[in-house]
Amino acid sequence: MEKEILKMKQITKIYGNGVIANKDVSLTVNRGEIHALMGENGAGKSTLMKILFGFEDKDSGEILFDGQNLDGKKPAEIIECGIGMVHQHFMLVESLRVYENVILGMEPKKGLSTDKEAAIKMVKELSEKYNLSVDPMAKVSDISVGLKQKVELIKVLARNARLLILDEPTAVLTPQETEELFEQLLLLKKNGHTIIFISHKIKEVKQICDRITVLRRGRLVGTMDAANATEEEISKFMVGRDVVLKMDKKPAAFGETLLKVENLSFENKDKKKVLNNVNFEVKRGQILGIAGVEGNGQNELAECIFGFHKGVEGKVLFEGKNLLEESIRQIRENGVSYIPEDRLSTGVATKVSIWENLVSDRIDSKLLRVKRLLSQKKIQEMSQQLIKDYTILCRNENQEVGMLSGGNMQKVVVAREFSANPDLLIANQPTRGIDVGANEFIWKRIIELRDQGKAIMLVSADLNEVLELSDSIMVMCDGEVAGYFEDSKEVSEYELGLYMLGLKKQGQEVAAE
Amino acid sequence: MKAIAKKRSKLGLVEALRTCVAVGVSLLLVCIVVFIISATPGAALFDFLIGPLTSLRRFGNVIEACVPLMFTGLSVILLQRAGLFNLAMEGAFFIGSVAATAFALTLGLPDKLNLIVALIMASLAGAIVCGIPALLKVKCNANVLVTSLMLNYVCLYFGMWIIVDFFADPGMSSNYSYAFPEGMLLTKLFPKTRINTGILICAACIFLVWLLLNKTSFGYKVTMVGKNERMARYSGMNIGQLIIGSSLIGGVLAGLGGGVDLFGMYPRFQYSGLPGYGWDGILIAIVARHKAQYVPFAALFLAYLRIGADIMSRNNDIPSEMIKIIQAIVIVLISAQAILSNYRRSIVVQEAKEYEQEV
Repeated sequence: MEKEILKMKQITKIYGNGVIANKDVSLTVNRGEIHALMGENGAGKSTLMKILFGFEDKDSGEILFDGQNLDGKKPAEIIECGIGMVHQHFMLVESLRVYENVILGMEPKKGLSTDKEAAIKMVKELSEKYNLSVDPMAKVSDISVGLKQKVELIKVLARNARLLILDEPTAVLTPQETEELFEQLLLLKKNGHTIIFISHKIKEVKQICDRITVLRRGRLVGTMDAANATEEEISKFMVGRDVVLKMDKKPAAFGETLLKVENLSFENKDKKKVLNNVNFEVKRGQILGIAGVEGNGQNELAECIFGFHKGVEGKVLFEGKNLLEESIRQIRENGVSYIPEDRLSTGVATKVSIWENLVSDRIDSKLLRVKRLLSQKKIQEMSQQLIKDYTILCRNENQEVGMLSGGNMQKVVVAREFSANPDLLIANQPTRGIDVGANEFIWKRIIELRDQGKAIMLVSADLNEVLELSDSIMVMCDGEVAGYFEDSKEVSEYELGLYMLGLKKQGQEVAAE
Repeated sequence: MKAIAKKRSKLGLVEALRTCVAVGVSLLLVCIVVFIISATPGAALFDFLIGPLTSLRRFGNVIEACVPLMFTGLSVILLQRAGLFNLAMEGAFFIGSVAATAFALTLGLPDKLNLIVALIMASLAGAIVCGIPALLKVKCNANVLVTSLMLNYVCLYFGMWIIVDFFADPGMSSNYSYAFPEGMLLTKLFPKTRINTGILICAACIFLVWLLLNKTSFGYKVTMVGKNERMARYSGMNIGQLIIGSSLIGGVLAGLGGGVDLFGMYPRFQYSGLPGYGWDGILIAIVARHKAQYVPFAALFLAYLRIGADIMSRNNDIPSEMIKIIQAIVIVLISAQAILSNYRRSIVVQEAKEYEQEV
């Protein structure tokens, strides 16, 4: 048997919008190793895996798995070959039970009907063998994110995968859950499975991986042994220069209270109470970080304040006005800006040009007109200035936003929202899925805004971001404020994890302080 | 920058080429069909392709036929701008002509003033018709496609009731209305043709729609709603207002079209069913790629085909229904994204590589 289980040679992929996602990328994975595939978001990791899995066609290159050529094979055939993938966004049917999800598409038969007993037994056995402790009868909608991931793992194992691909598995996990996952991965490795571990978190990769392949801007940078590489080296490889993932900032100087949220409660469409009696304040000159495992109400909190939802209870006081009674337009006119969580669906319109995206909030402004008609010249000048100020990498202001990389797309959003000169900025996952350069740029701009005496509410699932940027931190769990720390330095990452998981909780009076 | 500008035009060229291929292929298919079913295919094809140019009257027919098509084409562009599939322009065109008839026959004002008031009323009636599905969408989240489609039949029967019960001329064998006062019909511009001042009203509308969509914040906002409604809402736009606003303007254009066509071409109201110009508007909007400035060309194309087919069927053994088939083929081919997609892709890939080297 060959030492290598997977050989991807000279893979090139250009998307229909002209983005070069992979260029001459080669990846070799040895049998029985945990192989890290690293790179900033947008470096081409996901594309490479989609090509391996047959979801995307490649423009050139060759893929050999166990000596077998995978050219032209459909995803179903590739799964049959023994490759399994745990996606970043789970592919589970929420309303079905765990075992039903596992056997979907490969039901054991007894006559014409599904052999339930056999299915439940199989899931139980797999769960015990790999120490995954999942209840086969539980409904998927009732179990935690960590457990859902385990269900995905069992799904892959049930299909006899020898090569497992995990796409950013720790992104949705707490530090505690991450530790547990790593133990399971090591157990899988011991049992002879090979794992491709996609991540951009250097610490984690150093902890469990044997070898590391790094991609940058769609190209292969190199492959190295994890044992020999230092964290600095890896990070240098990833971004092409030394980066300090630390932020230097002046000590905070809090001013008057600008935003006061009182007894905010909200039920979503499914009648689930996603926000329960939330109280907090944001002052001028303060960055309030809102931490929490995703789906614990942080996103809804930000959206409620910015007027996305109707039927919100409580009060959102901004300079004496209750924002809950105002339209998004009025909220914007009051001096509030918002960076949405999902730039593709909310932040930009991908099919139109950069300039059209830059003026969407100010198209009624007199500054863009000559004699009541829109002036293309004035719009052009403003767009070119913003492109320059926010270093948006593009051909010109007429380019379609959808053709930009994630980081540059986010810069379009940031340019629009920051140039509105807000008093309060609500930044909802402002640096999710973008490269380190853009990330650093946006962090710096946020701190600049704080130093100008503006108030910032930062919602982020990235603990590093919350800790680096925030002056104060509020932790959300289950739609409630689980903890509030006036000084972000008084709390450790580990302790935040406990609050995020709901293992620890401060009294309401402390949180409302 | 110059090189980049050149590349951009290349992709635009592909779009233009795609339209040409679609038109070319559909004409080719017509030829094939004609050769199969006609005993005199040469003469038939001559009538079809060249016929409309052989006399001033025939060419006049082409221009006359353009006018209602341009109105409904513009109407569709506005109705669909906000991303909804509002099909009420068919009913709005019809009700527009009914309203024009009703006011023309009852007001008794001086002729020219009567004409102006009747056209304004036709526009308002059209706006009401197209506004209803939009209002239902915004207030009750009702499916626009369903409500607007159904509404067209309400328009037809309501309109026929108005005409038959109040304005039908008992001296006519069909349900025609009384004749309009001679002096209020639109003035003919060229002798031997029926080309009239309606075409000037139409030209003004094309310019105004172009201005609205390209030079006003209303046009910009409606376009953004159509491209990404969530993003438009988040940017602070009032989605409901924009949807209703664009639908009302679309309705005005369709209703006005109904009135203009009526006073330009007929001495009295003569429809006995929905005229179908609204549906044609969809084809016009697609061929014009939803740009007001291309509407005249799209309308000219369709009108030419129609008149050509008409002449062909009158002089030869080919049924004029053939033209319906040609239309269907053109729609399918023009809306087919796959045509030339490989060519388009190769250009994209090549440009990406060139750009890569520049950076």
